Amino acid sequence: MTIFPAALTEAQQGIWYAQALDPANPIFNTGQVVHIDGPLDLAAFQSAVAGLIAEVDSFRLRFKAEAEGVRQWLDPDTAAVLALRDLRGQVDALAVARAEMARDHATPVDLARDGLAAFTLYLIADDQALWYERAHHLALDGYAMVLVTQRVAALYNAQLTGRAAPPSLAPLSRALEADAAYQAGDQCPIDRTYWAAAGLHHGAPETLGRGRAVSARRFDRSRHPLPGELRTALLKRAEDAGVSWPDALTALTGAYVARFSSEGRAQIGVPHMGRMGSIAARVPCTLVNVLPLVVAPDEDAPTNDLLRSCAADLAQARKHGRYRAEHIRRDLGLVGAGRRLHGPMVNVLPFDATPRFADTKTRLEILGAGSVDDITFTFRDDPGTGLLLEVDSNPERYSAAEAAAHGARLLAFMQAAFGADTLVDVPLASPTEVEQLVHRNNATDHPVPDTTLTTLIEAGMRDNSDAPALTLGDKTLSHAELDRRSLALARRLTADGVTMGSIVAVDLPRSLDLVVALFGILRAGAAWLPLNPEDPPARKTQVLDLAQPARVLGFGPDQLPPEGWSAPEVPLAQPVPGDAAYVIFTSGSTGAPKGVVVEHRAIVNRLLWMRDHYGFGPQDRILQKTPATFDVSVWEFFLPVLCGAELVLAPDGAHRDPRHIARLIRDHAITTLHFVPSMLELFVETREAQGLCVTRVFTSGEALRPDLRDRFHAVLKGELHNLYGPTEAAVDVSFWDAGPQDRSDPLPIGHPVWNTRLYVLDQRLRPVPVGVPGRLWIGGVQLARGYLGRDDLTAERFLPDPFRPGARIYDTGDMAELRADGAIVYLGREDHQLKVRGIRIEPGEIEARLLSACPLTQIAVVPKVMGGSTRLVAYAVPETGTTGDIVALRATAVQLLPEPMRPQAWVLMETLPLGASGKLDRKALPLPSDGTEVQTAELTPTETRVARQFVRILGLAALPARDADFFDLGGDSLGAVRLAMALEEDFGTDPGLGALFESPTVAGLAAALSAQDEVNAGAGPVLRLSAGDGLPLWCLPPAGGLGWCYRDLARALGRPVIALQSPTLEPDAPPPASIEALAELYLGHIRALQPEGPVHLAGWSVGGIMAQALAVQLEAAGRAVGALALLDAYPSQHWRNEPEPDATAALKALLAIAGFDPDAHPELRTPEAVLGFLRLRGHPLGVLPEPLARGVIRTVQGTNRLIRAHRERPTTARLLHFTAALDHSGTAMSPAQWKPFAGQVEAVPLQQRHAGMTSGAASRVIAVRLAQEMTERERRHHATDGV
Amino acid sequence: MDANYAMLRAEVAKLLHISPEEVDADENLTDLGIDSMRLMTLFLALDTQGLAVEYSMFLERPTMNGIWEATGQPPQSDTE
Repeated sequence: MTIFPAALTEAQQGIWYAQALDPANPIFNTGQVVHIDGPLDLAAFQSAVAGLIAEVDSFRLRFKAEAEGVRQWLDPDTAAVLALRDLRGQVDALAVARAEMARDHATPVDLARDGLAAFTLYLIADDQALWYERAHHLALDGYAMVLVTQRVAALYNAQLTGRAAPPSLAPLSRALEADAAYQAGDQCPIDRTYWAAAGLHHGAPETLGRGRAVSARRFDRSRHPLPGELRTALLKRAEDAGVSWPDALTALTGAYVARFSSEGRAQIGVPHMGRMGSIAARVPCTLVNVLPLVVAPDEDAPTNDLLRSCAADLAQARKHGRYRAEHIRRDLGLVGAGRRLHGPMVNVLPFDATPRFADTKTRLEILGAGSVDDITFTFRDDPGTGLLLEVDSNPERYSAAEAAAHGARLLAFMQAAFGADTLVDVPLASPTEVEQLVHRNNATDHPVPDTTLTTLIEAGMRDNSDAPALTLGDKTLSHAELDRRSLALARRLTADGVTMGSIVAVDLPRSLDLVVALFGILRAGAAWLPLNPEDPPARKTQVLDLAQPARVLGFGPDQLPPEGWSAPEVPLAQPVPGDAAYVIFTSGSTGAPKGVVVEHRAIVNRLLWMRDHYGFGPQDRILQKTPATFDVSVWEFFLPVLCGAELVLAPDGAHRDPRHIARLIRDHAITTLHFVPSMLELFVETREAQGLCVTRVFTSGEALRPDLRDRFHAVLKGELHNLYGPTEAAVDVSFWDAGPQDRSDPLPIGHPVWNTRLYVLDQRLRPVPVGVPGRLWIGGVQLARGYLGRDDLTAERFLPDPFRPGARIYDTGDMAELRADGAIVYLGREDHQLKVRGIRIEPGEIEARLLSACPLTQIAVVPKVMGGSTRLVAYAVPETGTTGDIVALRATAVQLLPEPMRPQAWVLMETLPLGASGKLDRKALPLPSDGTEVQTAELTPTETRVARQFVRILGLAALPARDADFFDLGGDSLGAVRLAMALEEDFGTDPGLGALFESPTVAGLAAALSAQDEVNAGAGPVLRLSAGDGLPLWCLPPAGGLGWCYRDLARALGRPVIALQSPTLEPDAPPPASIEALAELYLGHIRALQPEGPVHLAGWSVGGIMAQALAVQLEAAGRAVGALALLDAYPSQHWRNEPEPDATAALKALLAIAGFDPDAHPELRTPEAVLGFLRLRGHPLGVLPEPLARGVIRTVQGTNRLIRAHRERPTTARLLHFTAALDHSGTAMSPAQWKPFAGQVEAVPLQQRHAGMTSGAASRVIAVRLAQEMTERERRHHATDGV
Repeated sequence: MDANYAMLRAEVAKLLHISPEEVDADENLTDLGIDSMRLMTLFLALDTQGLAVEYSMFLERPTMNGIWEATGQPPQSDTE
């Protein structure tokens, strides 16, 4: 007895802690009922139980937590007792007894107060009794429960028969001594060595359920009797294999569990009583151990081999089974909650544990055997019922139905395994499940006309000829117009040799022309191939080389521009449903993109399904905002014409700007649009989107998360539909209604569309049951023909349909699982493919391209999670002898790769870390440093505010440095939108996405925001550019109406400089009727600010014409004109006979003002495109707030018109002409042309072009001469006054 | 030697696929490769001979002599 107080055994410790953490949890009550039918000698029974209680130390245990650990000792006052409940004569006596037992079993034991065991004998009838036994798992394990039950029976029978009872049970101290002896002995290290080499995985073991394996307060149980023939087959197979049938059951259950792991490997737990050959064998206490057993069947090998090797493993495990599982865990470093050694448990109880009481019939019922962390498969050989499978499961991880399904499926699996030589032929899903999974879930047959997209769009254009077909901005094409223009293009293409089977590439930004192009190509019988005009030329060349299109529609050299889209009537080819409709390139893992060829039949199915399923009609207005290179654009482009709806095109570039999208929805009453979820995420956060109403929003391209669904419905009114599909299966193959009523988490990708089959299969193409991850395969009419010119790749990914002879299935490479309702849940990728804003990206392609073009020996492109979002990081090993230049690498990536494929961060490495298998060890790759080691003191207050937003958006650890680059820190373009929104919220002004792209550093953005303040102040009619002494110089604005261009001149002049700005910069200002009227308006400002003295005027370009007109008016009003300086301006006669300028001309003018050659950018045809272009290049005109930018364009247009109507009147003022000497050779433009309209003309030639006349260099020269002129004019004015 | 003891020895030898003379009465049977199912078969055979094995006692000493004594029989000398 000196051994007490003693430490807990390892087996007890886990139980004690779990109970202490959750004292109200009754799960550790183990219990059973012995049904006794026949004459029971009550006195003998009571005496037997009393005898037992006297022998069992464990019933008296008390526990105390002390500093050195929990201790236990024996409390003589805590004895278990036998209660007697005489229910004889009561109605429903059995039910009463059951209810009482259930209540007691569900009542937690208070370890400080209650006894650890309790017994009740219920007398139900004269010849019927129930003996209820309950013990806390700290006191008894399953074996010990059998021991004590059998002991009572032995004592009872001894009394009745007069024979001697077997020796009494052993004291607890013996078990504790045995344990100590084992720990100190020779066997323990031998066992440790064995387990260290047992091939156990260190990571989380495979499980069949979800969530953490935390003990619940209850468990679910389902019972599955094994049919007689299954038992017979088991015994026969066990005999054939030469193993015991319990081991055969364990092995096959392990093989079943292994099917749920992607590696085909299970680590199951096998309870081991741990008493064999031990002096503790007769101690009723808790000693049970759970041995981990690896089952990794070679399914191609004979099943008997599997049974034998598993039995051999079990024998070894048992031999070393005294080594505690807790120690194995510790040895493997699996410390902490949730880090388990094994997944499901398999417990085979081959012996009948029913006690025999003389002259009675007994039956044993197990109520509970302790906690169920995950799922336990218990096989009992019960003489009454034969073999019984009990499935106990943790309700936190398995629904009762899921667990029961495992039981039924496991038996079906065994049945099939006993009938097969190898496991390869044994499907995991039961025959009933296969029927459901393969056939009933895919009963999608639906009649669809066997026609082409060409036929459908031609019919659509004919049926709705007067209705608007397309709108972009304020331009609309009717169906008839679209019909006419697309037909003209089709004729042109046909005349050029395009026909069925041809491919025609389209290299156009989003525009009316783009839609005309797609329609025209289809009508010529050809397939369209979209290019992204924003992609680097190298990328486009790569695609064009692979596709060899017959023609390219676009503005580049050798391309066919919209001006040439007409030809005389020629007969057009009529494509058939099996012809290609389009070719879209996706990222290819081996370095080259691959072209997916989709046929008419496929896309017709997809479009007609969508039209009918969602009830599209003429009332709809569908927004087209997806780039044409992304196949979502296909339904955006073509669904409208199939239902008489209107297609509204978002301006080029607008798809990146959530606020712009919100405006489009409002302005055009959009009913339907699509978002990639990451963009939708930003959209629902946008102020402008709040309260918007749309009929339906579709998402695809990335997983739609439930929280985003819920935020969507909180912010917008409209349906939300989640679609899924690869380019290889005509856009989308499954759909899910993610309406406000949907509570799914995770949110499914849903059910198959018409004539489509979705299979979730294991690696051997066998269907997997509900809830089991597998690979998603697609079959049906929407499958692509294959990869253009890559029969090898096509054969790799498109296989024969194992369930439909003659049909094909496509391997998506996506992991998925089925829900019980047949909906499919997307789980992620099996390979390294990833999505960036919905666009499929193969890191292998990026690596191959960069490796071929950069001085690198190795590169790995890996997505890394940084600050909550995923960044594409390139790990590069420079060639020997070079140090690697990240700036150059980055530049190469820009030249070679489309924007979403460019690495967001670069890390130079000496070598790439390899794992044990020789493969890249992705986990060992370091995170890129984020340059956040800088003190706040180095930042200005504005910079600090900007830096804080960097921290917030990028999840940085500290404030970034002044020159830290947002994109280097891992920001992407969605992050940029987020940052812009955050900065606007903080500063109250919108820095503009363009500013962010141009100067993405902390300091750059801070400067842009400061400049923004100036901009906001700088759009007024009068802009003071500099202060100083003396009379001011008045500068008249060029065509755009803004006077900022005189900033350098103002700096150089040393006089006050005031710029006048156009009234039409304001959105609602009425346009002036003439140059004279405008001059009058400007004159008002001058008079107000400079009531007297000579007025000095200067003007560049159109501003020069204005200055001269002002001089005329000043003179007429009796005011003296000072200097009249014209910066390369010429009289209006030069424009008078030019055609009336259209919007394009205004845009060209704007480009010219911005210093770009308009003719070099024919693709910039809309204000949005031009502003986007300028923004992307960081031009000041591009960073203008949107309304002001539009004001500039309006002003350019207005001014151009006014100039044409203007006729100069003469002034006597002396005109000083600064001439751009590098331009105008060969034109009629010359300073001399002003002679009729000025008192005198003096030309000052500058070595400049027209565009450079306000540059710093020119301004400094001009300032010197102008200052002289102003002084001279003032001197003369005073001289005149003095006369 | 008790006839029942000889019978036990013969049964154990059969389960181990060796001759009765080769059985070491004090060797751990599990180390000799016997599994619980075969033991159970053995115990059932003994039961029909009126020798009920107290399983827990056998577990304390999983040898042939352990089985014998778990049936409540006096120890036998292994030598003749």
